[in-house]
Amino acid sequence: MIEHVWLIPAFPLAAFLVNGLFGRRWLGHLTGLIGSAAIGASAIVAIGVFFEVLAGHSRTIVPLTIAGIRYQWIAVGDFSVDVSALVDPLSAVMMLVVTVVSFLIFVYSNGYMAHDHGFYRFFTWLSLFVFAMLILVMADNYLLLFVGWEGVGLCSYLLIGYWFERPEPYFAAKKAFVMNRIGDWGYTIGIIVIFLVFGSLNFGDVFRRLDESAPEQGVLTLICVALFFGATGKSAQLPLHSWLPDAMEGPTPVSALIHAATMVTAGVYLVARSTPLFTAAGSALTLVAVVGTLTAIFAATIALVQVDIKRVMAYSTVSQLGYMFLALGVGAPIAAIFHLATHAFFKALLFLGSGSVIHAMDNVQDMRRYGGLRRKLPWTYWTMLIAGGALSAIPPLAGFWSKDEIVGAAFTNGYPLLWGVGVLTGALTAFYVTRALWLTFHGEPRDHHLYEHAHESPPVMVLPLAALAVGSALVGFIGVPPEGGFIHGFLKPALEARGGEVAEATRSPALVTALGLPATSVAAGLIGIAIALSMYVRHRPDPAAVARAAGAYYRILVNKYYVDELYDHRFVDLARAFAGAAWAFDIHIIDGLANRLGWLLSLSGTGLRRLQTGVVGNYALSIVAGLLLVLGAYGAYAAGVIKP
Amino acid sequence: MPDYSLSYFYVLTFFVVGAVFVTVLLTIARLVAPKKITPEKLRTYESGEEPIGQAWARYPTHFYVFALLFVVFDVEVIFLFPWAVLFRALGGPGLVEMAVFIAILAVGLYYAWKKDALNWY
Amino acid sequence: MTDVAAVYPEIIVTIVACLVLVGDTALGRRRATAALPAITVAGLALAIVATVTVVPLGHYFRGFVVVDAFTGFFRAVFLLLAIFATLVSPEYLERRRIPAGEYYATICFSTVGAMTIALSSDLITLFVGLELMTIPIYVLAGIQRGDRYSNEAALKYFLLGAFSSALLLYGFAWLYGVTRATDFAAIASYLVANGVASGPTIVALALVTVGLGFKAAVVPFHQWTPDAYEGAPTPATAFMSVGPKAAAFAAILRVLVGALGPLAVDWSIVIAVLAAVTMTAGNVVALAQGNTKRMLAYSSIAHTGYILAAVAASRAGVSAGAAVLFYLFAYGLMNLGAFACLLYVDLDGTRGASLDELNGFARREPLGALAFAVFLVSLTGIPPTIGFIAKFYVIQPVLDAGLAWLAVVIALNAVLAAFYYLRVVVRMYMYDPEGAVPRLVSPRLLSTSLGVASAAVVILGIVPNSLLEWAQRAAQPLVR
Repeated sequence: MIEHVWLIPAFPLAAFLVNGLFGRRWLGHLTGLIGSAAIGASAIVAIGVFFEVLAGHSRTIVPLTIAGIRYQWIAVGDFSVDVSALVDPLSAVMMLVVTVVSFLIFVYSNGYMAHDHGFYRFFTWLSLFVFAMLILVMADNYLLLFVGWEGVGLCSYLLIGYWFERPEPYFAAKKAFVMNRIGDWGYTIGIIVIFLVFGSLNFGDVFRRLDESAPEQGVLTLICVALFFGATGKSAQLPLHSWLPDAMEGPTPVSALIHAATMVTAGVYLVARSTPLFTAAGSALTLVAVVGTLTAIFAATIALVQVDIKRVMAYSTVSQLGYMFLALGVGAPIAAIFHLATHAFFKALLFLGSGSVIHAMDNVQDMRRYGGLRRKLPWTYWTMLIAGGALSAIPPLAGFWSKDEIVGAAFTNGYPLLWGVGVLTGALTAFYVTRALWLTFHGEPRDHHLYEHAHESPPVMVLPLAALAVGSALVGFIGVPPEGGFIHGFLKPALEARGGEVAEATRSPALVTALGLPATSVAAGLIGIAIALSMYVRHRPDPAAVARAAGAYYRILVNKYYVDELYDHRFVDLARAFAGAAWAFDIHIIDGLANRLGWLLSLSGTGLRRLQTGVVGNYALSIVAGLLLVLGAYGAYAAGVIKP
Repeated sequence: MPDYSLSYFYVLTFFVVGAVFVTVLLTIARLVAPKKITPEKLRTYESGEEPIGQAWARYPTHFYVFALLFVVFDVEVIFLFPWAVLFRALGGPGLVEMAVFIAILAVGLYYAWKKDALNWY
Repeated sequence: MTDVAAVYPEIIVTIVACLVLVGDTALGRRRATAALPAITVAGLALAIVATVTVVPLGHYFRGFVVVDAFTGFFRAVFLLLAIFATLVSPEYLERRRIPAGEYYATICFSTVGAMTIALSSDLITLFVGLELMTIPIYVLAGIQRGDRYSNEAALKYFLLGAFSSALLLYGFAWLYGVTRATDFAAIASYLVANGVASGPTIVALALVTVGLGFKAAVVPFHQWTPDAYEGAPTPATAFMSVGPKAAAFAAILRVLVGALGPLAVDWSIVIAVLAAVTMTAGNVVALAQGNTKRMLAYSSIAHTGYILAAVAASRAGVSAGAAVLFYLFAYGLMNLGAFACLLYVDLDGTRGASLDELNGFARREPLGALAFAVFLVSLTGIPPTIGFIAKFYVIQPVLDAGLAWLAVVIALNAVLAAFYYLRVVVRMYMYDPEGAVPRLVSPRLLSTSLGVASAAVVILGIVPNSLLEWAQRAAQPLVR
């Protein structure tokens, strides 16, 4: 199966081409089916690859060969970049998560987008996204990874701005793109320095030469900081986090797939993939841990007061990504990937469930107008409850095992302060999840008109919810017992640092910590839930009163710490002045050239009409053309140019 | 295959590849590009003048029936000449076959006559 | 006189055609409407009886005509299709004021041409038969003189048909130039004796492929098909879509497999590619059609592809030829039936049924809808219908001939086709009718013949063996 690993991205690519070329005119709603089938096929291959990796093929490089010819992408002097797939436990896990979650979300989208007029466009971009994401996780070098990295960024832009008729999605898309490009600047610098230092961009070569030559600490730190800056852009960490909540303007399945389960985890993947580099540059790791922790608590506090259900989930995603970086920073990359996998399930489920609610409530996203929906949407309610439990780290749901391992690792690896913040964030998380679920599903309906018209979603949407709920409940058990579970043994060969002493599983903590740490986490979660229930069920204290009492701090939270305003004033104005100059250059020099070119092309285009023109002359021409083709084929065959 | 025809074959290959290349590119452009039709674009082109009337104009075709009948009997005569030349050689069967041929045409003529195809209106 | 006895069926059909023409003018209008179809059907039935031949199998008319099992099969198929086409037409012709005498006579003449192709053993006979088959079809397409679409259909078909005939004849000329023979057997033995695939032979082969491909509506020589099928009056379309296609394949089998069989190594891969392109293009375009008549037109192109696939597999031996014959029989029955079902809704002012017009058809015309559903299911290739068996028998030789990829293409296309065929069924049974639609005055004859045909589609789908054995016997003469 591993030798066929290229099939995994090939299916979505094919779906993209078919949907993009023929979707608008001919396929219509068939595009959804084509897309889902393609991703389903990829998922099957990915499962096969996963099992082969499991069976002992721990590290395989599969070059892309077309018709027996190995494809070499760049070959300049002694610098060459192949298009090769690196199949190891890490990429196998990522491929599995990406394809399986994508498949479920594709299926769900068939129902969610059924009445949208741009149906084909949606599935075209979504297929392209999956393709790019797979390239990203399969790449065996930094440059190919960058191709996927940019590809997912482009698709994210296109899909956030999917409803481009309205101004908000359009602006949100632009914001996401610009923020990502700022991060890419860091990534690009990272690659350039890597090439200058190591003379290669291949993961294997870079890490081997790292062991051999032991470059200067400062250079390594520069590389890691630059790469991490790229990761903050893609994974919405401080200071480049503010695009992700705005990205909720895209369709909900997009939020679930791109802005919760897959693309935003690319930064985590990048850092995990570069573990040897980060381990060698120790101070960069601390930066990662601190930024992750700050982002986690920062986003969690904002999530406390949001009233838009999707924004709550968005800030929650930012916060959970912060946890993953915390794990990477404290030297527990396995825990990070473990949390990435569990998070993909329960957060995708929370988004899809929110989508189901929004679908039922006539596209209203304001939780203040919900209430009492559990009677109307039982499936959505129960599945979201499971996901919410997982996010709040309630044992034995998936989120408990992975998140507990992260905060535990922070403590045992010597970062008690970060551990404290992590636990506190856990309590906040439990609070906002409980708040969101209560406001949506319990209590009395606050908008009776909407409530009367609410209805459970069709099976095509409910089934993915159920599947994800099963995943959210059970995926955690691949990490049981903590630090000695299946996932640890599986990922260890890929993530174990070379020469470093990070191996967290080797340390056996005292029994007190082994039981005490999880107990603290669970207790924090339960306290968060209890406070939320007390506030929203019994109004003791009343939420409105709390908001009044908090005063200024409440306003700061509602306005998301005024980060957007800050960026607008300081940076955007500056950028605008620069853009003005660039625009003048563009309009006169670049466009001038492009217009000449377009004029030439349109001249030749007028000759081509539709094939079925109804004009007899054209038909006769096509017969003659066909004759020539047949004659050519026979001739070529007889001359031995073509072999049967 | 001799060498000279092989070199023509290269020319043919070049021709075909060129045609396919242009066709494929323009087809992709067609599939991807939007199409916005306006009445001005669909109007008959008459060298920049405002078109007068439809392109589908009627014109009298009275003569076609006669032309058709003329051709039919012309062909019949052409067929009769060689038969007449070889009349003896073909003998009895030839006579029967020609009679059948003329009879079928006669049925056609009868039908046309009865359907008023021979009248000038 | 044995020469004459060898072609009794053709003589009978010719006489019927003449009788119909005379009868049309001699009888009054009222009596003619009842009498002409009766005369036609009776005469064609008599011709079927005559195909149980009184002469021994072999060559007649100095080798210009051959009577073998192949001839017998095709004669019967053509005559059955002509009878079916005649039976579904009368009510429609009357309603649309189409000259009935000309209509039936034209069908008969075309059938004579088709039968002539079946009994040809010489390029000249074959070409005469082909023209005799095609020219009446041009007339048939344009028989509704007042309708501009009918005129357009006829003119387009005629111009392109003449063009392709010229190409075909040109190919025959090259073939004669190379082999100095017009007799199929002589051509084949020359090719065997003198090696194959010289330049001129290839030119001849290409021209013949294109000329015959046009008649069978092979992509990219198909473009006349949708326009001609859509513009022609529906019962004429029904006949056009099956009779000439079966005849074209008879010609392809006689020329390509018979005379040019020694070149099979050269043409089989090209034909296979053409088959794949044809079925795919036909199906993909059919998907996008909102008009059922045009949809069926494209679907008939797709079926050409399936049949052509069996031709491409001819090196698999008898089973390939038998697959072609069996498929042609099945296709004739179900496609003619499907087009004929449109007669229920093809009323004044409509050009074939749009999908919307079929909404709730099952409630307005339960039996017609049932028959239509059976034909569509069979065209899709779902058991237990003859269409399934036909596809099944095509795939077998295709695999035997080592064209596994083509078998995959066939299977994928069958899935693709299911979408648009079954969409019509869904429309008929699950949608509400739109507006009041006038009913046919007396569709009894139409309903009866459609009932018989749809029953045959199912029965032959369950017990296909005797038909298959017949097809295998008939394909025997093609194998040398």
